[in-house]
Amino acid sequence: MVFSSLVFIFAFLAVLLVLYFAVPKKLRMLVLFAVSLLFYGWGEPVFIIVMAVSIASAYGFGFLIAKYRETNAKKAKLYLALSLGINLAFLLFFKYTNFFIRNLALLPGLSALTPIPWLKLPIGISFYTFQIMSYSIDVYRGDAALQRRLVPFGTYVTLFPQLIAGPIVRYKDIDEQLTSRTENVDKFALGARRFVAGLAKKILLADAMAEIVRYADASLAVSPTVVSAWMLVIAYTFQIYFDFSGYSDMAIGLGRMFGFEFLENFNYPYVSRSITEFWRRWHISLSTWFKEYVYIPLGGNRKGKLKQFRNIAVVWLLTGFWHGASWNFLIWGVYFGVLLIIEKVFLLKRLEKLPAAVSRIYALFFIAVGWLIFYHTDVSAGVRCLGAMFGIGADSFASATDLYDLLRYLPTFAICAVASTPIPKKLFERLHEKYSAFRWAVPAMMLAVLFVAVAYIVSSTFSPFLYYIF
Amino acid sequence: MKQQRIINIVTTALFAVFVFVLSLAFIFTPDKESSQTERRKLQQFPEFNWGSFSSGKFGSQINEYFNDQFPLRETFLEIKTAFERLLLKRENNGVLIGKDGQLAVRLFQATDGEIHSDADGNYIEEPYTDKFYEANVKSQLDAIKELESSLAEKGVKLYVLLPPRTVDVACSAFYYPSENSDALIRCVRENAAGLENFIDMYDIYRARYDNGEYVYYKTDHHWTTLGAYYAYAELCKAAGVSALAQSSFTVNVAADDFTGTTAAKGGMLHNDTDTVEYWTAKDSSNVKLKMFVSNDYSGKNGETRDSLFDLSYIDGYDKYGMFLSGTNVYTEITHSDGAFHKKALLLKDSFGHSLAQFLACRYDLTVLNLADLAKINIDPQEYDCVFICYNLENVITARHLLKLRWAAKLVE
Repeated sequence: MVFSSLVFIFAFLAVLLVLYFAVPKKLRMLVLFAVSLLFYGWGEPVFIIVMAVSIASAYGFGFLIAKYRETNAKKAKLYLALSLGINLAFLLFFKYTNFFIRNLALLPGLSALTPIPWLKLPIGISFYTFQIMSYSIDVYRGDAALQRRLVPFGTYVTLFPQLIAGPIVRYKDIDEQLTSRTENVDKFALGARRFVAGLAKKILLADAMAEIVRYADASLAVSPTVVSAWMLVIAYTFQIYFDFSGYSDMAIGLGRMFGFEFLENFNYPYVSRSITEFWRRWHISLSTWFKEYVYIPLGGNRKGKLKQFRNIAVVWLLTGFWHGASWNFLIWGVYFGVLLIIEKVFLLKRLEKLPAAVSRIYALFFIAVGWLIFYHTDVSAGVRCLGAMFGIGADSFASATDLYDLLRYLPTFAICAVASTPIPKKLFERLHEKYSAFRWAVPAMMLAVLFVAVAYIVSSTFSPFLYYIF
Repeated sequence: MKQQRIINIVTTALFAVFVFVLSLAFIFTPDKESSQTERRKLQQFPEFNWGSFSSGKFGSQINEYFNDQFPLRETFLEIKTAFERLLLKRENNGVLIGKDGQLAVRLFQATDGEIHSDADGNYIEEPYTDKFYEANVKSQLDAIKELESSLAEKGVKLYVLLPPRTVDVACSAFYYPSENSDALIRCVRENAAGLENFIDMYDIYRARYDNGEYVYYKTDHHWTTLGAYYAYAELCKAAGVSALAQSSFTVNVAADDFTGTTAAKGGMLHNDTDTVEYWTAKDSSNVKLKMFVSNDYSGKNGETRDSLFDLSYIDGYDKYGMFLSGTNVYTEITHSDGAFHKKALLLKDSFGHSLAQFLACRYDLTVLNLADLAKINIDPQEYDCVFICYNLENVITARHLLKLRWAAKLVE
């Protein structure tokens, strides 16, 4: 189930709100656990089994890891390895098997290999696997206490706001909230506002950009122009940001309605002045996860420059591959790894001396090219698009249609550009602080935005049947 | 901070009220069977069983059910359309919004003739685009050429008319540039160059449209009856026979509240409406037409009607369906006045439906629907001439004209 659907808002959420706040406090956790499973199983219930096995193994091994942690380091390590191994095995099997089969089949003599047709990616597996792993590691390291009860632990993994697309919550960050947290009207109001803001980002901005992306992509395949290539890349840059950060906003908002405080996942990444800064502002929970559970254990930056570069390379190969089982994601990871190393070696210092506008354009350009790689699962199409951006293989600079589209999408692009900066938020805060009338207007504005967003969701399901082709 | 607390209570209340009011409205509004504006049956509450639940079918049907039965669906639709207008997008759902209520579909699922699939072998639908694939246009026109030469050997002439789309005709109504239409027309012309009887009406329709003539519907993708009349006039000219003058027809208005496919696709519920006319020859007192329609190719099983116009369609949304009773695989129109009439074959898509009323003034007609037929067998002894009337939209989004290559081989 996705947040931006009618069935989520008007059935799932409505029922959950009643149920959650009607039952005694003791039972609230159980309610969350149960509805989270329903939420997860909505599309493909079979995968609940996969998730349940992952949860059960980490829960069980948790006891063993905690038991031997102080008395028998070897055994503790073994159980940690088993717990991580089982979880990773699921992820590897479901996500990467067919990728490896497909590529092995390219080798001489192995062409008989064919992908397993029924193998599908369980939704959210990349996210919840990382969450489960963080529990085992946190317990092993003593950063978190053993969770003895299954329901709170199960709820940690399955908690529906962050289950499918993050933020990836580290166990130690939420440990206490699982058992003791307060729900109140202040949190709920903030949460509702945040949810509506995220919904608007997804429905009003990301989906509008997606329309341009689809269109520009189809145009490029037939007659590429410089402008349409740039349109594709810029629109996709906006789409992925508003889609993903909108989703995180909705997750954080929903969590808050039920008393949870998740860490922020995005911090205006497109105002960054370097790629290094970008990755501190984009998908923060993932970068933190890799930093804490891969980069630092590998030695981080404490063992000399060469080791540090190796560690960066490992982390970024993994980050790329985590995003998808396809070559372009690996290239995407390597691309950022290389950029980050270059910045570490010399560029970062120079960037700091440049005017902000210049370093921002530098960062945005390489971020956008990154999204170009990310978007094109067909690598050769990505290369063609990149070429077209600079006139290589383009039919012309711009067609009249490009200009027409550019003009009619100008207001939407402008809204997206402004919404990518902290300006609206700062303005909001200033008005909120200064004017009581504004504070009173906020609930009404929230309602209006929610109304329009719902109108767009309803319209997106509008599918007239036309006696068309005949 | 007492004030903030009250505001938070108000925020919470508004959010809850919005969610619960619509949820309750959803529960208490009776389910609808079908939607007039969307021309389809709506999803009903699905039957629950473990099989359908575990396969995920139940879940996706519930999603559909919510989407289809959501309260105030049309109001929300209008809010969205209004908002898009506010954002100056000038289009909605790939439909251009032009002057005087003129609408036109801009984006089509043009095919390059290949079937595409993703890495897992799932079929990928063609994306919507305003471009087209030259190779597909060329191969289909080549197929027409093959049929033309096969028929010519048997002394049967082939007249080819590929009517433009609304977007190719009503260019002056939109800010949208005409370059894509121009490119398509250029491509069609180049590849039709070898055809002896290619009826090129692209400039004619544009000029007539710019002249204020009602040649294409505003809300539907078809030509109007007037537009079809002009096609008839040009076809007659090419065939060297005289067409009946416009003045020798009585214009009957079947409906003036027609909202067609284009408006439906664009979600424009309150656009200007169209007028559907059907023309009858004034001196037709002793001409009786009989129409036999069938939905199997053999043309054996079907029913006979004594009019080309089925006015019962006017009560429904598919008002254009009044011509030839909508799409049928096989239709035969014969004169029952006992006089001799030439026989013609019309290979068509739905543009042919409103053209048939005119061609039937002169010919006994066999009408075949190109999309439905797997094999087209033309007996040259049976026909004096063959017409093709096939819209450019279908030329670029489908490949049905390729069947004519086989038809050419079957001509004996």
